[in-house]
Amino acid sequence: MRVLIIDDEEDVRSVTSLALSAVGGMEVLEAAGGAEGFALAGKERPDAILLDVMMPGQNGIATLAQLRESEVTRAIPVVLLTAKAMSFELRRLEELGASGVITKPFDPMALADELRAILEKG
Amino acid sequence: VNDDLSDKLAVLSEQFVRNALAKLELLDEAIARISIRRDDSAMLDRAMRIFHALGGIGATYGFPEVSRAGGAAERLCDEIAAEERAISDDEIAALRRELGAMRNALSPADEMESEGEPAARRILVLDEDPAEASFVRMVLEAAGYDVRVCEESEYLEADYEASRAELFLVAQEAAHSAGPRLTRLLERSGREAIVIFGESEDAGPAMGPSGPRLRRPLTPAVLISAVSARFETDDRESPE
Repeated sequence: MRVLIIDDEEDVRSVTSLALSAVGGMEVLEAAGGAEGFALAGKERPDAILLDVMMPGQNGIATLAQLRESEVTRAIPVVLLTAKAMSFELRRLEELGASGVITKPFDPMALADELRAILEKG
Repeated sequence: VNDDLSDKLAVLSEQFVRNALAKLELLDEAIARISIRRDDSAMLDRAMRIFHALGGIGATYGFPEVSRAGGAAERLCDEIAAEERAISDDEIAALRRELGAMRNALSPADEMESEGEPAARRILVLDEDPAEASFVRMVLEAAGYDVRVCEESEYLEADYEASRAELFLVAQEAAHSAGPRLTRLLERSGREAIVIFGESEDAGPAMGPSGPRLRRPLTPAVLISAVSARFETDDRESPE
């Protein structure tokens, strides 16, 4: 499985990448912003996208909308990464077209399983 | 968990600590500036984003207190921003407490990283001339000092709080701009200022704060000598 991580924080990308590749056996692509992530998603067509919500410039919500509008990326499941875990916010994010939400901080040993569970459910 | 994965996580964790400590410096500066301009929504947003970033990842790297403190501070910033109001004294104190909690949580790793080397002495340079300030910073940093430059006297107090400076280096023109605020800050902090005069300026005692005086053009040797002599005097007068 190929997963694209879109997050502006290098510390998040690096530990997420390690967790998904070394623990979960996944192939990982990385982007440091929404616009870069959207372009990479269109080019590489990963099996799933792990998308941070709060980013400078084009944030996760705007990127999700862009991914859903494009015919090329519309079918790619998007799982949002957010530190804001209020239940009404989680519901709103799923209504916007996210397959699920993983809250930060996450356990790097459990992240791959958590992602798989969301994708299998969706 | 295999050893290879543990090793990789350990390397990433060290990198995280370095990045987090750099972010704490930015937070220090942001909070100091907010404490001067209480309705500075852009600076509050900046602080909130840094708290958010640290809160969101700290526990993943094994620092749950960083996540707790970052989350609490982010919520407080969020609340103030949503109410579109100025921050209060109590709220500034609360942000500083959370910042301190994060620093404490990260500091054991920081100490290990420095392997017992003494911390660099901290100097705040107040000079409104960027070229002169840059020269002083470059010379002193090369000599091993931790230097912060304040180019706008409006931010004097904020830069002092962010730098936690032990010594001030003040250009005479900037001393004029800062005026009584500089005098009050020196009195309150118990710090001393080395005043730097231009070639043609009057170096009389009424022109700026008390303390050793230097005259431009400065050479690196003169500058370093004056600063190290000042710190040596301080160390003799207040031994541990």
